[in-house]
Amino acid sequence: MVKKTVIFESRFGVDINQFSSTQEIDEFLEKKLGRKLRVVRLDQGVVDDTGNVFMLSDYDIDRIIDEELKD
Amino acid sequence: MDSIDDLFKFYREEFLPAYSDLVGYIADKPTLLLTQIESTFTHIAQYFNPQLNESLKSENLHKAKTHLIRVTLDCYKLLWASMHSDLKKIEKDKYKRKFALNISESEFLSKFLEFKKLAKKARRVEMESIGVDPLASLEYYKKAIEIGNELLESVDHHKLQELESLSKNIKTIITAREFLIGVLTGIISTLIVNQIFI
Repeated sequence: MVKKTVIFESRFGVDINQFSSTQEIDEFLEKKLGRKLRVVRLDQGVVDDTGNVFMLSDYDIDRIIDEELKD
Repeated sequence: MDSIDDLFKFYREEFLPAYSDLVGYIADKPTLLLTQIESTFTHIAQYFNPQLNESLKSENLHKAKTHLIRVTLDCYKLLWASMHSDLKKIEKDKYKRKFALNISESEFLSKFLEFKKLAKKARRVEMESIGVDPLASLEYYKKAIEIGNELLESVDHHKLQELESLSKNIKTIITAREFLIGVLTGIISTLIVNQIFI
């Protein structure tokens, strides 16, 4: 039995057990959204309080979180 | 995780829910995930490489596991960071806090604090568990995200839209007023100068 999701199932009214790959999840979401999912760099949208975009290398999610938790 | 079957069990039971939560929320696919998924796949391919001995195969299986665990945790971290970024827009604006929520301002602020506290706790547990139990922090991230989701559900998007539209109109009025003041000042100054020197 696949563990429950935090928001996906309640938001879309589905059971995660229906999905067995990322491809199936993508196809489901694309159908819901009515468009293809885009590949994005999330760090580009992360800015600090002074409006500076963090210049992040390939794998800096820990830095993103630490910066957000500083204040 | 001892076998390739366990690796795929982890993929279905832990990674897929994490992935669906993140991609379902941001409605896009972050590059960070794709890099880790590619690395996982590379090590799995090596695990099935007939030219490698058992020791190297086992090493590759272990590396695949490490990447899969990391990408699972990263899904929740990215989700938390995305939610935080969205919630901060409300938290920083006193009018949005007062007029665009279906809960009281104080309840929003206290839950927002809890949302951050749990993420701090998750980061601490994660740092303390390096090399011991890399998934120890998972439940704290999930709890933080649950609270973040509650907060986001408390946002009345209709009110928020009205508020943003009102704020835009006020800015337009202020800009127009400043423009008129500038023009009037110019006219008055010209008249005064004309009176003095002509």
